Amino acid sequence: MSPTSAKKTFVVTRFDPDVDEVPKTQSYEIPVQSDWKVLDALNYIKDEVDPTLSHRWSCRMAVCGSCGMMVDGEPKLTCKVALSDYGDVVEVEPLANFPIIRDLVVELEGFMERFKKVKPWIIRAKERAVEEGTFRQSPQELADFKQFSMCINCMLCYSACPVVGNEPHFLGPAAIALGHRYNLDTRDEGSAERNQVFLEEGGVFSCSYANECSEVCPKNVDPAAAVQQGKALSLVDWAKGLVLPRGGGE
Amino acid sequence: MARMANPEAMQPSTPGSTRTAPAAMPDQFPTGGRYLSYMLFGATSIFYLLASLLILHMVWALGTGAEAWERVMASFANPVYLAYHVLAFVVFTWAGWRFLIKLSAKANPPKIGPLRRPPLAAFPPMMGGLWVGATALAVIVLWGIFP
Repeated sequence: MSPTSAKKTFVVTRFDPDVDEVPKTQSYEIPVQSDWKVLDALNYIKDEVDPTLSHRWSCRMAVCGSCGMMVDGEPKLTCKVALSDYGDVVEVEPLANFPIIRDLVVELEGFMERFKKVKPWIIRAKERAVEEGTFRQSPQELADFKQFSMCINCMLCYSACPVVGNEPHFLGPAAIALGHRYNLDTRDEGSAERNQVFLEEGGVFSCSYANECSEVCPKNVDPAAAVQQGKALSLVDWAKGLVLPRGGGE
Repeated sequence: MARMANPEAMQPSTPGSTRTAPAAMPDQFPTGGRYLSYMLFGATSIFYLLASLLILHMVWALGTGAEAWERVMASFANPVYLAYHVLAFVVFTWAGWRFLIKLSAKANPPKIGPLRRPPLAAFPPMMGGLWVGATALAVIVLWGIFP
């Protein structure tokens, strides 16, 4: 890349766990090209100005979900947002609501634990033999959950959610959306297990429907819808458990 | 980043080997950008509380006798009550629009048991119709036209 003469200043959060007590900021004025994304600028800083800067990225096409950061205070995939949308000074911070490991890199292990809790895989009471053939699913049944499958786990929804930062046990939008995706899948038989998790402390009822998760999702998934639908379906499941033998299940 | 988040926010159950800086809330929280309407929506609960207390007060007066009821009705001419009711009307209309028209449709699962959700586009007119209908019913009952 050969930068043009246009320049922008990047105010970037820096944190070295071996040295710093708290994060600080550092400014870099760099030449930029008109077609750059924010990630291109960060890579330029890393390659040409300051090799100590740490940030995550991989695919550069909004698929891997690695490069989520706060850009001018909003959670964004830095490979997706054009630099031209921002002013002469661009503030880049690590994702809000996450502990910071170094510079722009955040701790994701807390999310992975929440992710596993909702069992985001197909659960069958009894595995079906291959000879019995494939599962059949209508286009309508697929459409019911397809949008929730589009999540790339970029964590922007966690970063925007006001509950995540205040309620440490909250499962969070992406984990609930993925759990809900499997609850809606006609091939799955694990909704009772997941709804149990949804009803626990930090489950779906911790959500106060700010809708911010859906506003910031770069893949147009609607996690807020999943959480609200999860509230309804887990309540139905709970009520069925009260009035029907064995919760109405088989 | 301005406000610190809960120190436990998004922490793993077992701390990693690297010391981490605590999480911060988003810059715009609580009153900047879209968070403002979320916070205001939460604050409308104060008006629900006040309206509930007022209804209890009216029911109490109704049970006490005609004279008490007339006193309550007369008190509604007080400018403070009038101002409250104008403000409450604005607040309930906005809260109703945000929840019933804007947010409630997608909160319905695609299917509950055998019942399939109507198309999402049908919800705003449906909820709006219900809302206007319920308001109209309340008005004609309170006006004494019906029953």
